[in-house]
Amino acid sequence: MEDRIGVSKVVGGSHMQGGGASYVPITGLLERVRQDLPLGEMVHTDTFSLFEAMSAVELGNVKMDAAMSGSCKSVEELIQEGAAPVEGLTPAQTLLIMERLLVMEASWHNGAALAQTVFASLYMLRPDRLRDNSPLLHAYCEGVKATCIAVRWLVMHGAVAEEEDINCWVQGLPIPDMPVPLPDARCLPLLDQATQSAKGLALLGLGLKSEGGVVGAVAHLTSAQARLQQVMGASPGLQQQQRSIADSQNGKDASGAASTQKEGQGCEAKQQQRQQQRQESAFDAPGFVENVNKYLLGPAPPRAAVVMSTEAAYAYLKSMLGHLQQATDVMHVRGYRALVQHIERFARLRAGVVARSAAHYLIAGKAWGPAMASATALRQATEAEGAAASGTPNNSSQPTPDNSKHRDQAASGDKDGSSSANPAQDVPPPPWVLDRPIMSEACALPEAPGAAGPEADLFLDQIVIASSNWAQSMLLNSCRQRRRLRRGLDDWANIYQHALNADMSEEFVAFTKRAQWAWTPPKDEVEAMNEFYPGPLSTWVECQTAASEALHLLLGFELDLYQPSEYAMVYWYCSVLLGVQRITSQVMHSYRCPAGGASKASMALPAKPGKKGNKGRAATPPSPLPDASTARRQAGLIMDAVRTELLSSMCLGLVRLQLALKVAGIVPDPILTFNSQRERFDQRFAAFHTPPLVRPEPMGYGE
Amino acid sequence: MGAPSDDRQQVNQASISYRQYSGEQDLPIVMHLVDNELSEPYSIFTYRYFLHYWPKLCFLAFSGDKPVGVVICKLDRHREQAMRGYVAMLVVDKLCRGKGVGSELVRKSIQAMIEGKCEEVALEAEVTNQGALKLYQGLGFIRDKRLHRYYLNGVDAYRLKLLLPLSEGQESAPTA
Repeated sequence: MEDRIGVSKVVGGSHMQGGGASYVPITGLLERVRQDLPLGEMVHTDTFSLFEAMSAVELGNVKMDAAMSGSCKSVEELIQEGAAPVEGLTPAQTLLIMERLLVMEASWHNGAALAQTVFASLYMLRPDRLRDNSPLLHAYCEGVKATCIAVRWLVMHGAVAEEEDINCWVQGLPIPDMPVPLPDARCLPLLDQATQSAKGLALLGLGLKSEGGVVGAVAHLTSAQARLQQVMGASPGLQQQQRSIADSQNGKDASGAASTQKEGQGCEAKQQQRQQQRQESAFDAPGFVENVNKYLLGPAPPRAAVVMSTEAAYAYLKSMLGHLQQATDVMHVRGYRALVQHIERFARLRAGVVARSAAHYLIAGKAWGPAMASATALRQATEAEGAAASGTPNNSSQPTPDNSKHRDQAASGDKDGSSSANPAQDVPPPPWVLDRPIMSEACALPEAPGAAGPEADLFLDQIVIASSNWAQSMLLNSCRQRRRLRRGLDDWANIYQHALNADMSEEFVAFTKRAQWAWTPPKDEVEAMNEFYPGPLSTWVECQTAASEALHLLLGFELDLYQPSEYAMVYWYCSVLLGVQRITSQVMHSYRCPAGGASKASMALPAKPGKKGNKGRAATPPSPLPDASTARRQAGLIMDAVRTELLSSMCLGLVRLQLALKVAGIVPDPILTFNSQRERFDQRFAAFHTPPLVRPEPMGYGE
Repeated sequence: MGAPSDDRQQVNQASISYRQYSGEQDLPIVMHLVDNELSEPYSIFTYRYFLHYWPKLCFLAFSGDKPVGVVICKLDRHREQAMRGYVAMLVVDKLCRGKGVGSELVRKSIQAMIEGKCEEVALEAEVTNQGALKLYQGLGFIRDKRLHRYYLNGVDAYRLKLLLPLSEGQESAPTA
């Protein structure tokens, strides 16, 4: 087109009005444009790529336009039609709504959009309607909203949920970004009242206390909901009544009701049918409308909201509570080795995104900065207000004579992080946070800057970053964890160079002599590069690198990435990496580095006096005893060496087993059309060759 | 578009013919096959992106006059490093599955990529799609990584890769 054509000029200026929008037909414009384009060509820019193509949405195409599915009625229209009655709700209906909200919340945690689950409830979208007619349901809805806010805040700040959909389609919903004061003072007494009124049933009391902060609050409210379910479960009458209501709504026989977790292979059609049935039953409770929020979804393809079964939801919430509890176990951790064990143990739980976010939030350094101070001040202000309203003494740990002042400080702290008047901000980070103190302990370096030289300081700064990245990687979902461990090898390769520089620096060598490390520094750079003179810091880095590589490979089994014909070479490489870990642990043990950089000479015992009558031979000073932390470090290194030796032997045994199966013809080699075993080996272990890794030395196909 | 399918019609490998995408007149055939069989929605822009730039990497399979399969690919430099081929879509009509039609389509496309100096081939497949996984693994693809909730239906995907041996020219080419 040579000139810009006004749309109204081309199409004759006719406009249509509808729904508050103005529509202009552009058929005439497109007809004119079409004349200038040859067959198959598109109007596009030079930057038109696959991303742009895949991002395009055909408006009105049901497969691509989420707004095309479901009802067009607004929330107000649905309420006016009686879709969410507030008067005359029976106790059974109230319980059904509450249970369904719990299931929706669990489904949201597991990847379904908030707009299609929890806020598919008209009661959640308009909770104030319940205030006068159904205070219990009103309190429950406020509680659910508060936990959703808190969970979202926790997940956003946990920084391990990028691939999960927990933040998908949240815009437009009535949930702010920052957690509001949790209404547990109002909600829990009402929930307690509800459980007390259940016939002859005692409270089970799970004993979780409100620790303050979002982690404890999430656990507290969810435990209250789980407690209610236990009460319902212990009351056969209530359960039966609820089931019959649900079954009558679904039109099913009671014996065939509820969804099942048994999904066998090769029954895809049955799975889809069951999922469809579950989907339909999930929205059959009063006030639930599946696509009520579709106007918020924007021009995007529709996503199926997978709603969990009631049993699966409760099982998930129960396990989540346990995982949150285990996440808080980090508060007992002292030392880098213990922290690594805690993270590895937690990662093996394969917890959901909420628990993993909590775990990482507690470990990450930023959690203990201004944001935490603000949350602390906000909590104190809330508790003081609640205490003042109820006339009970304030339970907060610090006196809060002026609540408005604390709230204002908290608000200003949120904005610029510079609330200097708040004493909580001056609190140093806890000992389990990945920061300079814990990393200096890991490498037996002094914490004070400059004590071992500038190269060592730079090395310490780098390993704080690398270890923080590693910790975050470990708390991602397993798919992403494996990929991030591989990308983290770039960090370790870079840090290895820093470690070499530090090992070779005069200040560090002088420090090791002062601290009487059992390490002979190399004479020159050539000797330093010789594998028989590994420096302490570079050895530590090599050990960490090998551990990351081994974990990356082992995760492939869990993710079902390997074919049986590949097991032998994967186990073989694992045995090599575990062997590297064993050797490096033994080398570090042999250096006998005092923990914290303390000098062994300062701990030497005085010489023994000679016996009576003897002139007293010149006493040989006994070997200085290590302090407790050094002894612990040495013991840990020995344990690591033994453990990795054991694992390496197991891997070698599995290699032999695989080879035997191949010889027996049970696991034959694949018939390769386009490449050979060499290319398969190179592709499988390409990650270890792509960054310039020096140590551990990448293994080639020839080995 | 093609004769209506006959459920009782026997299809054998010998009756399947293959040819390259020849132009715009094949686009409705391609779109019909893909839209009917694949769950992911594709806009016209996506089809045109692949078929406009890489028509020679698109192959169709016919049983007589009836189109029964299509493969759509691309080939370009990946992150300024290796020449990577990508299998975007592979569809085989239900009646013709299990007869090697999909394998043959992929084989032809990979051969065309090799002629274009391709160094590796990649694609994604649903973790539950056992048929596709078996097909590609039979051609030498390995499961390189797993992608969490990759598809709109929430299912994970495997990224499959096939590393091709370097040609003599590629081996002797100076590295960056």
